[in-house]
Amino acid sequence: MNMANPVVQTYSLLAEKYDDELNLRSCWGRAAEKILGSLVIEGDDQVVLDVGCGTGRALSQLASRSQPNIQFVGIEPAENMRKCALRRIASCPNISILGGCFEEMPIASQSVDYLFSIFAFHWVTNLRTAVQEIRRVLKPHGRVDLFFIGRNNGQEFIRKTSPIFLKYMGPARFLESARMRSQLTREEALRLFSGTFDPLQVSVTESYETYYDSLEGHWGWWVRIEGQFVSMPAETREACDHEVCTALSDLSAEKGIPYTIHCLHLRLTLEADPQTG
Amino acid sequence: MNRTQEDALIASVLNWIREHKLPGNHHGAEITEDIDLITDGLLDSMGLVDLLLFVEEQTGRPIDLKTVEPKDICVVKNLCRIALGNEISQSAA
Repeated sequence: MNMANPVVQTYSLLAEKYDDELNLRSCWGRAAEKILGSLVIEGDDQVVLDVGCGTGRALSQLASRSQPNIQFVGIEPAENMRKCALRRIASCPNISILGGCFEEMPIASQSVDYLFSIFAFHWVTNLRTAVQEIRRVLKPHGRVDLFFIGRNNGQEFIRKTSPIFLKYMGPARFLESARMRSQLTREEALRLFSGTFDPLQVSVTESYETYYDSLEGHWGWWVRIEGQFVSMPAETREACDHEVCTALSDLSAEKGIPYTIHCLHLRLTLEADPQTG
Repeated sequence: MNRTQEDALIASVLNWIREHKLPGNHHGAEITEDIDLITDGLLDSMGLVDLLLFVEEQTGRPIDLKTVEPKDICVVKNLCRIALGNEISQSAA
């Protein structure tokens, strides 16, 4: 993913809204918080890397509950997200924020003990390069936890909104927006990483969790996919939004409007070669 | 128009859709060449990308998305005609 990617541009444009209460309380905010609570920094970790660190929320929380001698590094392609992250970590000397992405990390080879990422890997545009880059930066005994959305994510919304987006965007833009994401099945993710790492060191688990929210609540995270509509004229966008809102309201049930997150969790645990340490 | 070629492509595409359709959608109704793949929930945008790749591989020619309407790529019989460079008749559209 390069900096000219419409998704990166959109995240940059919306950076100041990213930590709005509505977004943090949304299904994505809640799911990310749950994942963050599951991450474990080990006693001998020296360098911890968050790829697609956004506004630095996860990094600052992890750093606050870890030893101060651990170096935390965040990589983020969207410039304004990095600015927000830098503001957040201003008083934390052991956290640094760098420009970059999965495919191109400004990090020394074999320097990272623990690499994690929360809901960013599905934006990767060159999967093989990204996996090789992960391999490059990891120490021989490094660990990885990647959480990203899977192929069957948000099917309730997709069924309702795809005909509307196709109508307003036209086939070329509609399909172009689909190509911006790499939503893998569990099997595809396993195959992808097993091509570069020892398959015995790779595991992928998947989960489906349905979150209920109001229309306003779901709309709060719509910012995350706005990159797909960057090229839509404003007046078309308004009409499209209106139809989407109406369609999503149709999903409303007693508990609210459902959205099912299909989450893949890829875990890598490397073991040092006994001859090279 | 080469009907045999078109019928063969339609059959291949319908088989592909049966194998790749979204889980839990379409409620077991018959998948035919007249169904709208997006409106009827058989495929999402990523599925449609994969289907177009499959069709282009079958015909060996690219589909120009800038010149087509949604119904041209979402209805199997229209898609197959376009993919083979055949005209879509009014009745087919």
